[in-house]
Amino acid sequence: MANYKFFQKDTGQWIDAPGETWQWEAYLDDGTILKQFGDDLLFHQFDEIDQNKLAIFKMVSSTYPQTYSVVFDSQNMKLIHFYRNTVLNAGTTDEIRHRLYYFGYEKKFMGKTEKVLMVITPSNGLILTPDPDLVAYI
Amino acid sequence: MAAIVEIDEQNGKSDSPLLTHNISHTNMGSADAVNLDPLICPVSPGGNTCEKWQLFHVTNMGTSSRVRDLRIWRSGNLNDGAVHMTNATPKSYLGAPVYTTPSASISQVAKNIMPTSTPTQANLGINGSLNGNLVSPGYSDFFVHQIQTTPKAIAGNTSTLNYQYDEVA
Repeated sequence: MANYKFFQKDTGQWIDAPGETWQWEAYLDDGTILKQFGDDLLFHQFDEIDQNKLAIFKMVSSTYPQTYSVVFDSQNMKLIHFYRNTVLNAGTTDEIRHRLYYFGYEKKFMGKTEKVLMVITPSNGLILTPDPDLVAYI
Repeated sequence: MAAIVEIDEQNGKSDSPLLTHNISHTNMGSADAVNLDPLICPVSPGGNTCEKWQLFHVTNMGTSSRVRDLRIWRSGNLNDGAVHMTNATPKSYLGAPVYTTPSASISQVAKNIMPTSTPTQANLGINGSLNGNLVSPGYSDFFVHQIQTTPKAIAGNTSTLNYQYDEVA
């Protein structure tokens, strides 16, 4: 497995960047591709994506065969991607940690901002929602 | 590498506090003590646990650029009218409380009922705001909580804490 590196500005050090179950790839309209875990063996941050040139945003996995894509309209859409981490029963022998992968976009429509978000669950389920907070652990 | 987070707890008098990093658990009892044993520090029926003053602490940002949207809630049962109170709330959040010596009297800081399911929005602030971000290693606002029992309270109920945060990498 490739050993990816990331330069951490606050410490001024290179650190290892272990792989994520789901990783993004940004396909730009000039034909270039920026991958979160790059072919240059560097980890790239979400903020490095030039959304003015973004054509397709993909979530890919080395664990699962699926690929999830957002066809992007760079004039009207703003890309969203984040992780939601949950720690249940913190500090007990039953502690459980989950990481959900959120991605999607927001778009202005008739003066309102509308969101379309997809959530990849730990069991590889895909949830489509307009509101990230509708997806919750009980 | 994901951001590395831990829960810290501050104890002691306000003019000489002691911060313990990466606490083992949040067992609550009558004493102002970290990682306490509730069998050694029991609460009498009708009494309150000593307040817990805890912090969500990002010790290393890893490959992330921002940590935000902190949510804390409990699960499990508190019977016999006991209530778990906290300063964490998604509405009318009062900002970052200033540390005071933890008290077993009715808390003047933890005045909201602790949620029993995932809050639908952030309920613990960063830099005094529920919309705050951590862009480098740092702390949340103090998370203050206390269990207040009734005279009918009996031993045996267990409640556990859960937390959630968003991370942009």
